[in-house]
Formats: sequence, structure tokens, C-alpha cells
Amino acid sequence: MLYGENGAIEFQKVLDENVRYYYDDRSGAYMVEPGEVGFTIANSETALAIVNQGYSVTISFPIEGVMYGETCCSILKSSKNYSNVRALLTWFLSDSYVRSIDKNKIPYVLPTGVENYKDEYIDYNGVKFLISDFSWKVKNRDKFIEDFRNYVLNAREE
Amino acid sequence: MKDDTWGDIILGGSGMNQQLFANEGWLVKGKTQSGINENLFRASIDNLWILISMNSLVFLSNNEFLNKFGLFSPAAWNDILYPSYKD
Repeated sequence: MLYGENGAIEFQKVLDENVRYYYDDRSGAYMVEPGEVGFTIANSETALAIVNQGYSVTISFPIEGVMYGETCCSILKSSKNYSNVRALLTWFLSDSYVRSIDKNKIPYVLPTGVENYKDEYIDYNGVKFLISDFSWKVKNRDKFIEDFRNYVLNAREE
Repeated sequence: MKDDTWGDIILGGSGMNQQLFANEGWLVKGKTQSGINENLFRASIDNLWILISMNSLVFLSNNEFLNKFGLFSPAAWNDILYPSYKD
């Protein structure tokens, strides 16, 4: 999104020169605190979990902006408890919900939507969350991964 | 909707997943087609679905380690391309 389809692959090619390891689990993030690597690109849930465990690491967001994943909730037409589920969804949208996640150290990214909300570890002010095109992602995900394999990973092995 | 569809909510899944259910006409329809509004998290309940949590990529840095080598925690995507970070 920031660089365009071709630009993203070109970016990955250059970035690949600086990458020591690719991980598809949390282990890469746990290499930061002991100094095995200086920094990593991590999923926010992993990063927040590490911070919550007391490790001395810093979380920051790229100033250009960052895409995000989301967890959503909806009401089914078949619901026979509409008033109750509407109350639940209303709570999801409340300050109380946001503060309960914060209080219980649930490692979710919490955008600033609550008045006077301030996270203990992360300054969300100015973080630019980029809204993505769902349809485009569904259609192009496999192709993008394939391109990454072909033009970045395989090129590296040569 | 199938006659045997039952339940009250779909809890979890991305907007992408929720859209699949919306396309089937299974969700209570609201005023707009998106659960994401301008301030993201506090989406309207009148939408088809609401956003209840987010995750994103972040930079996770060990500043003490980086500072030893005259480096700083990256602040931008382009920062992480600097060759100095390689070693």
C-alpha cells in the first residue's frame, strides 16, 4: 500500500540484505532483549506480550504508517437474544472495554479513542493506521507471497 | 440464510471474514458497509460489524544494544534499509 505492488517487492529485496532471520513465530522477537539482534519487525501482540513480561525493549511504529489486522464482531440475523448481544457490542465500543483490556494486560493494540487514554508502554499519538482494501488482499495475497518467494527468498539463496 | 443457521454473534475474524458473512446476508445490516470509521476502534454499532481489537506490525528494539553501535531505534520503514543495521 505504501510502496505499491512492485515497489513492495523492491523494498523487500533491499530489506532482505539486512535480514538475519525470517521467523513465522515469536522466537525472533524474543531475540531482541538479550541482544542477539538489535531490532525486529514483530506482530504487536507478540511485542506487547514481551513488554508485559518485563523485558526491556521498546515498541515503536513506522512514521509512514502501518497496516493492521483486526478482530471483529457482528450480530447474526438469526439472533434470538438481540437486546443482549447489542448490549455486548455496545460494551465493546465503550471506554470500559478498552480500560479492561489495558488493566488485564491483554496484548492488543489499542488505538486512542478514549478520552485521556494513555498506554503505559506505547505512545499511540500520531500512529498512522492505514486502512487496507479487503477485496484486494483476498485476491492478491497468494500472488504476493509467491512473488516474495520468487523474487526475494529464492534470489537470496542463489 | 439457511433455515438451520443459529447463534447470536460472530465473535472474531477479520473484516474480510465478516464481509463473507455479510455477503451471505447473515448479518444485521447497519447504515454503512464497513465496521471501520475514521477513528477506527470506536466504530458505530450501526455498522455490519465492529472492530474490537487490532494488531499491526511494530518495530521492537533493544535501544541499549543499538546505542552501543551508534544506532537508534528505527522510526520509519526506510530506516531499516540502512546497511548499518545489517551487522
